[in-house]
Amino acid sequence: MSYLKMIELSSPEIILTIALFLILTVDLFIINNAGSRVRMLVSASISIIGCVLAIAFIGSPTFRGALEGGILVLFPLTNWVKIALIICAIITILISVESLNLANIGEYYAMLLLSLIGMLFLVSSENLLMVFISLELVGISLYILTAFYKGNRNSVEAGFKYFVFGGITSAIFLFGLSIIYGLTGSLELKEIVRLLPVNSQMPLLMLALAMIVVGFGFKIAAAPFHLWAPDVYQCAPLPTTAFIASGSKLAAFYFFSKLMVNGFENVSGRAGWSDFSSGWLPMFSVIAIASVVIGNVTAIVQKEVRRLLAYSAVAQAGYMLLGSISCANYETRFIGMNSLIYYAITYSLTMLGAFACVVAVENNFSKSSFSEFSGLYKKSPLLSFAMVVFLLSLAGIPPLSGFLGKFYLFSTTARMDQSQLKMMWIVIVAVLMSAVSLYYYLLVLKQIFVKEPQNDKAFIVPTLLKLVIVFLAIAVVVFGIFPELMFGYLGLNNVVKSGF
Amino acid sequence: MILSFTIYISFLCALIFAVVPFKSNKQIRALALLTGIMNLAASFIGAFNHPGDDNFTEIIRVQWIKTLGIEYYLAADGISIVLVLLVSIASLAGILFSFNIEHRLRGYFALYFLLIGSVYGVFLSADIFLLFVFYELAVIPKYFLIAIWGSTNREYGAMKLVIYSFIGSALVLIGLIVIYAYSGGATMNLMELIKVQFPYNIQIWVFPLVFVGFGILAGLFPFHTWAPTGHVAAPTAASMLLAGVIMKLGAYGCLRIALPLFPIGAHYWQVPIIVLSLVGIIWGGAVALTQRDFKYVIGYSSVSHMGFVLLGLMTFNVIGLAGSVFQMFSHGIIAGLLFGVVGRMVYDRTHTRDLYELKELTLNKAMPFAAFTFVVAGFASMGLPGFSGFVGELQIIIGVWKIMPLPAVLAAVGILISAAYMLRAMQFAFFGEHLKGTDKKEKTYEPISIYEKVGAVILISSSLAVGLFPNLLLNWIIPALQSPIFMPIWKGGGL
Repeated sequence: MSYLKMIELSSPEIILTIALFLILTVDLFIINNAGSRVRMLVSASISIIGCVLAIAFIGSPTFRGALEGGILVLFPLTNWVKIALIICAIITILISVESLNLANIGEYYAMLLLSLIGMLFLVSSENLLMVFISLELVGISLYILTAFYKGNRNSVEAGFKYFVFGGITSAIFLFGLSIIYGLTGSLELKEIVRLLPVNSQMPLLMLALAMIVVGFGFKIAAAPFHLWAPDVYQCAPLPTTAFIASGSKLAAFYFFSKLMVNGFENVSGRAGWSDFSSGWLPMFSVIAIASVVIGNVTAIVQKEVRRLLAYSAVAQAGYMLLGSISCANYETRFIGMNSLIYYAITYSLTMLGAFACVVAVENNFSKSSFSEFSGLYKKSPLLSFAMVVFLLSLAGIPPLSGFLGKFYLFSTTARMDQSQLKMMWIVIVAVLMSAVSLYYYLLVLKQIFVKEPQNDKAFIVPTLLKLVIVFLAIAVVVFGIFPELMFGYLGLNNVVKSGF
Repeated sequence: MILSFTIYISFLCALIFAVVPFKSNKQIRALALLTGIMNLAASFIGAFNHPGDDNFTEIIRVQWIKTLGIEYYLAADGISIVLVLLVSIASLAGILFSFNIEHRLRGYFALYFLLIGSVYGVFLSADIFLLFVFYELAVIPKYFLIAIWGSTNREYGAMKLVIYSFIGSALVLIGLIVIYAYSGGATMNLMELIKVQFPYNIQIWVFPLVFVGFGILAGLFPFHTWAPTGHVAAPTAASMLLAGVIMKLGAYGCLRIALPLFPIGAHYWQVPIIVLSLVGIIWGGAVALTQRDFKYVIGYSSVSHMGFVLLGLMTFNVIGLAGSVFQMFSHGIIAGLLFGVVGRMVYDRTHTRDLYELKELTLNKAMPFAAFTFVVAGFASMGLPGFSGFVGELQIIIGVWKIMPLPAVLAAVGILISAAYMLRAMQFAFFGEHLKGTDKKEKTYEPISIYEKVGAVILISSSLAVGLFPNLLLNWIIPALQSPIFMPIWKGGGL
């Protein structure tokens, strides 16, 4: 293995690591006596500069190649997703600047970058060992970020819960990987797919697949592995929540879909109506349906906006699973991945925006149950409009991007078995449950527009936060009305077609 | 072409209202009125420029989402034109009837025009994805219009209406996904999809989904219950739009998408749907007969009259379908007028809609103009010859008679019931008498404003004009029904 090649291919991660240490050093030795505002801005600027440099490296057209054993495999789609992940991180950093009230500022940004580095490695690796290490890197830094309000019992509890759940599922996931290694004797996905017998239904293999699905389900908060999500979403520092809901989900979806398609294409099984056979496809279908139903139904009774968004995130994970499902079929593989990435990215932008709005509300009221939102239209029309955009996009109202994303995902799943339409049963459940979801989003909007404000205290939204919110709202609208911008101009179609 | 300006003018106006902070409500009203008039002008000019033949005349056609093969494709045939005219007339009257609103007027008109623009969009779309986008876009403004500016039980009524609509659109969406996936995921253009033969086993389960999905919005029994509560809770202009225009969206969807694309399914489900529409006609009428709340009477009468529209659709002959479209126009105008009288003229002045209380007020003396308008609207609604209601319902009954006589007879009974509840409401609300022994002084009310009079006159004259000269509309409708889009219906899909 050429070290030079290795350094070249991991240069974005190396840059981010340098930025990470720079932040720690600067924060500890140079500006440790400055005010928290200064420390915040300096740390944030260093992280953003690191991110931008990383994007510059990834963006160069010659940045591709593979290391032996699938340790790092870079091709256009991976690079594209990596850039999207870094953009999510930049937005998270910008939100953090206006929302955190911490003593350990440098450590916070360092951890954020660390989890980003983990995600970047995760999406570009096709070696099971490397995958596990990156997943752990993401996981552990997110546990720490969740528990970052050290003095706050809830935050610590949420972090601990996240950690316990995460630890157990990681163990199960690792067990699954080790069974796969035992069956095939290889850690590299391309080898595994060659060595596994076609349409094999070996019990041991099914067990291993189930264990991998558990690991996946935990990462994306799909039911029944979603129980950590409401607490983490509610109690973690808000930027952390936003990052878990956006970047972490995008990375997990891309990576796991790639894992299943590249490594286990031949043992996908079938999940059509009255056409089942075992494999990972039926497992995915079951957790997709469970997430869509449980997420949407439970969200109805929530009284806290953060918890509501958590359950809605569970439901959204269910919708996105349909994208992973359609990747299993050879004919719909590319449009499946295309729809999944489109949805995951627009969803990430939407979630970041929604949490940015919650940040603004919590800055003023220090919590975010429904009553804090009442009469928001009077206090901050901008925020209210942005909230309409984000929530209705989540509900799937045109012309916002959530609608087109859902249509694309669902119709792609339906096209898996085009002539018989046997996959329609999943689509029907998903569409009907998405009709339910409008109810609880409207409950929030009702607070904002129909109720009158409870008091007339001034409502202040920092300019930076306003800019971020406006940017995200415009992105959600524009990607919804002109989706060709993403498919064509940003080149999603081409990078997906060039293979994954 | 100029017809599409209706969409752009409305959306632009909605945007202006949303963004520009107007100083006074007067300016807002002036701009709203101006927009309404421009819409009306655009639709009339567009209508006269339309050839009126059996073509789906293209207005604009550009690639929209290339990856999915979806186009921004607007086109109009005679049916679209009739409905666009209806929207323009009803919405202009609605604007005139909402001039007494003071509370958050800017937001009110922003949502109002957003709603109108989307409705125009539905009637002018030839790409069914685009049609669905406009259709869904119309859902949200309804919620806020009712929940913020409504009256009785407004939050409940608004939520119920939106949930029903959205579940309806979810059913439609399932149908659209089937259409899109089965046809190969390359196009949503209606003219292309007509050529796709959907197999029997798909049609028989997808047709009811799409038809019921759209039918929910058209007040199909037993999914009609959103309509009365929604109408009652809504502010006057919104209930005029709901009954007059929004319910037509559902019927239009059935006519434009469900019937031509799934003709076999339509024939398969013909009898059950005819039964449901008849139940709607008679049940709606019977319930209207027992209501105490004036607005509920009109709300249930809408369910009953929309039953005729759905009944006409299931006749699969030209006269029945033409009657349906005619009835859509006619009911849109008349329901708008009735809700205008009840909501704006009576309720906003007397603050009661209880028929027994109104009886005491002898409104025919206190508000002669309201009484006159209501009497005219009531006669139009019960299908008196000379008004538009007569023509539409007669055509539908003839169309039904051609295929099966019994439902035609039952539908005629429905007309009798409508005469009964209208006369009852008329008598209670306007021609009541003081109970003996009570010596109430006649109250005086704020006089009927000029805007209300103009609005009422516009609606009455539209109803009279097309009632006396049905060919004004039928010359648009009949050729449009000969177009290739509707061919599968007449052929019965090769059954």
